[in-house]
Amino acid sequence: MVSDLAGLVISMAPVVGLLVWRGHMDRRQHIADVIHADVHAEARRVFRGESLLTVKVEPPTVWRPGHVRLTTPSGYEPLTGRAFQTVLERVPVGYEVVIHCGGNS
Amino acid sequence: MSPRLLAVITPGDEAAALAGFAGLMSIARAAGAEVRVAYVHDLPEPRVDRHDRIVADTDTEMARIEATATHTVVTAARVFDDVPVETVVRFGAPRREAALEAEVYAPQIVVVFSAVAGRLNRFRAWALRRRLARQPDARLLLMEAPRATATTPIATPRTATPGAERPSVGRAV
Repeated sequence: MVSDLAGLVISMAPVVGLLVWRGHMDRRQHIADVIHADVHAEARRVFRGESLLTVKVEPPTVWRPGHVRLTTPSGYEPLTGRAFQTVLERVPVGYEVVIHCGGNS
Repeated sequence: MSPRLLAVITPGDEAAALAGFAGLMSIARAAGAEVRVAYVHDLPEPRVDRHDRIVADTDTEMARIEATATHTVVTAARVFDDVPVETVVRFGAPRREAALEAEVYAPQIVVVFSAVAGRLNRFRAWALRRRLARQPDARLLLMEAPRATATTPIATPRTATPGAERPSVGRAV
């Protein structure tokens, strides 16, 4: 009886572990999506509409904090400056603001 | 009192810093901040010729690197004359010197430049960020340059290798 239970637990452990890990990843991605929506809405409010500023949010991983990436085409760097203060206020603890600069970004 | 913004440039990130200088200035202008650009560099070794005779001692090399870095930053900042920019060059272990500079200047925003290319660059940027993140009341900002601009240094490093025909000449970017 005990050996059957142990066998069942051992055989199910990888599947359950994967499901738990996937659920954790989904929760972190969901939080990142909420932050993205918040930051993007604030950027739109600052610019009174859509702009060339791109916001991308990456959830944190085990070895690095989350990233809020702001990207503009080359020559449009002042857009980053205009939105920066507002974005910085919206970025929670555990996330870093990353600015891509220059061309090809 | 206007907020203080500290931009830390480490060896290898010079081109990324120059590529991101316009973005840095736009941030400083929007925040009404005064900017201090801190270039941290390893203590240079004396430059020798092919007969191992010293042609430039450490002090001379430090003066050259400091002058080159200051000139480069001043040239880049000349376009943005409405933002107060000052330059500091520190020699020693880059991470430790950057942390010391952040401690001395007590900035509200710390900007770290990082080239995207290379695992080593990423690791160095990560280690520097971890060190600077200990600074209280300062928000950390990472500026990444695209892969194409991640190579050119502000001050050419020494060429004290045994096989070198003659020492190379430092070149401003």
